[in-house]
Amino acid sequence: MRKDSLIEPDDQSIFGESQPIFQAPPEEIARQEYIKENQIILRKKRSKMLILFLGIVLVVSGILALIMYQPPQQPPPPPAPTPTPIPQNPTALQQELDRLETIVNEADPNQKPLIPPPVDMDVSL
Amino acid sequence: MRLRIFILVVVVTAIFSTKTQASELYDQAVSDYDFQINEYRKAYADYVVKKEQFIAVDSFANQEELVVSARNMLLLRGKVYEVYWQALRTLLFEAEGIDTVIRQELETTVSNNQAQLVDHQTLLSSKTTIEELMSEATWLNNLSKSYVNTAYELILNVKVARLHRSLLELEGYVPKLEENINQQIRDPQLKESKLRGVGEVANILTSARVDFQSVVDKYVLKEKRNYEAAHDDMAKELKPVFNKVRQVYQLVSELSLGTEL
Repeated sequence: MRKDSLIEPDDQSIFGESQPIFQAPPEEIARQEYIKENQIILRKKRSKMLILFLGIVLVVSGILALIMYQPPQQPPPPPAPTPTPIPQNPTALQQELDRLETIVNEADPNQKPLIPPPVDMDVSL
Repeated sequence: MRLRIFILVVVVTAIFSTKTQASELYDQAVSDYDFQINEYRKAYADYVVKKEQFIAVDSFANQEELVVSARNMLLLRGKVYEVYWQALRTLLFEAEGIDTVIRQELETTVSNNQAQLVDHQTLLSSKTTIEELMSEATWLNNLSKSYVNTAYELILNVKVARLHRSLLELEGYVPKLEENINQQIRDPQLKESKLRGVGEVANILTSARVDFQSVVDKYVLKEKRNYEAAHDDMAKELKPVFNKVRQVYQLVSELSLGTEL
């Protein structure tokens, strides 16, 4: 015991060997661990936010898609063929009445006649 | 019945065909007339300029230019009247019912006028001095009143003939209409109503005929007169006759509904 107690104080290298060379002090390690923990927490938060954001985007897109979606309209039914009037030749009576109308219209005495030409008939050179 | 309709269609087609040709001739003649009168106006404007230049400076060059311009203007003046008579000839040809004597007389007069105008243009082409041109121009100047009178006599007769034809056509149609109503209308009340309308039409036609004849007696088949003044007066007096004719046409058109030829 005594020997050990005598030797121990004399063995100065033991402490020096067991002491890790360039090892950071415990405060620093604690700080770094704290930072790492924070970063992990932050990353988790970001992931959650991203997932939430993507979820919101999906929901909004779905709502928009529902609003914008219009079922394809049925093509309008082709218009029912309307019966086209069959051109009818004017009857003999109608032809006769048309002929009479032309004759009557031509008989208007107030129709502008082709008056004598407005030329100089008193010309003196 | 079918044979009657066929004959009627053939007759109507033939009449329309002849009328269309006559109308085309008249339209062509009027188109020629419009072209020549425009050419004349341009030539006359040029002649006025050359005349002023000559009056301002009495030079040989200006005199020569005036002769050329005046000759061109006088030639076109003759041409304008020539195509004008052609237009009136087609109008005369087209009009039915003009008194034969009057028609022949007008045809001869217009034809002579055209021939004389062709000679006039030939003579003008050979003239080389102002004096010669003036002498030839005076010949046409002196015919001015005669030309205007002939033109209005022709127009007056054409108007009378057209109105006369419309009266004749309607007078011919009314008995056919009455016959068709009697044969084709079954409803006694409708038939009676339509026949009453026919009676009214006949009365209006008779009245129109009387009025027309009094105007004809006043203006046609008389001694030669101032037809320019007579034309305007006659047109006013014929207007009431024309109104009756138009009324008759409208009535027979209505009464014809429900019948067939």
